[in-house]
Amino acid sequence: MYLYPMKKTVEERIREFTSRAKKEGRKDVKSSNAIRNGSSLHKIIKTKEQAATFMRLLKSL
Amino acid sequence: MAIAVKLDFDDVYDIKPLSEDLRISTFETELSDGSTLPLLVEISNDPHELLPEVFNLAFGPPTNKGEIDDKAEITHKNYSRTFSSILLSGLIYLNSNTAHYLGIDGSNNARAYLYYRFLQQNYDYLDRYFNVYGLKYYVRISRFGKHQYDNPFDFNDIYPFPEKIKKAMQLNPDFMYNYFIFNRKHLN
Repeated sequence: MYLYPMKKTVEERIREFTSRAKKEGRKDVKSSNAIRNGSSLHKIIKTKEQAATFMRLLKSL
Repeated sequence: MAIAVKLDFDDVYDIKPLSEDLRISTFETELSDGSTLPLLVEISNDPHELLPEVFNLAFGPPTNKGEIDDKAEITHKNYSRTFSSILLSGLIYLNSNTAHYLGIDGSNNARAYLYYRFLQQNYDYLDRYFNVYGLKYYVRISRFGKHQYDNPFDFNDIYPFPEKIKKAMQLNPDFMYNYFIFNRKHLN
């Protein structure tokens, strides 16, 4: 009897990819400078007070 | 050209993991001329010392040095599949890093507006998986000059103000959010 393959759920897709990354992905890959410090948000946050205010606001939403 | 995108995590390209920690992945996107182009999706692994939970996400074709060219202008054959693949990569990462937030700049205002339209076109779908926020940056008005606005801005004193993006919000396209942030929606 032939059974049509069931469509994978998004959760199954995520689990499969995560397991594949553990097997095939490289370890300790460093980010490029451009992405590490490149975001506008990371450039404008300069003090602990700014960062704390921002995170408090973000988590309150 | 108006681009309509229908996000669907069941209709994605074959995404390949490049790092075991789910930060870097790649897939081949189809271009309008029938050719293919590799795209990298990368999440920073080096948290900002003051913002240890917010990580930058970038995507684009690799340069000769293997870095992401996020300013490349590409005509995709299937924008829906391309952006579904990029966002699924982010969702996979957030699923294992549930306390993290991912941020996307958009390399210019037009591109940020494009992303905002994609968010609105797919609001209900994205709302199943993510909380999505837009950031506006506010600058301190200094007190130099005789009048309030003579020499008004101290660009060393900027505050980012986040707001949750709501369905069908109308924004002036000329004043788009400065930054977009996603985190994983927790279903309790």
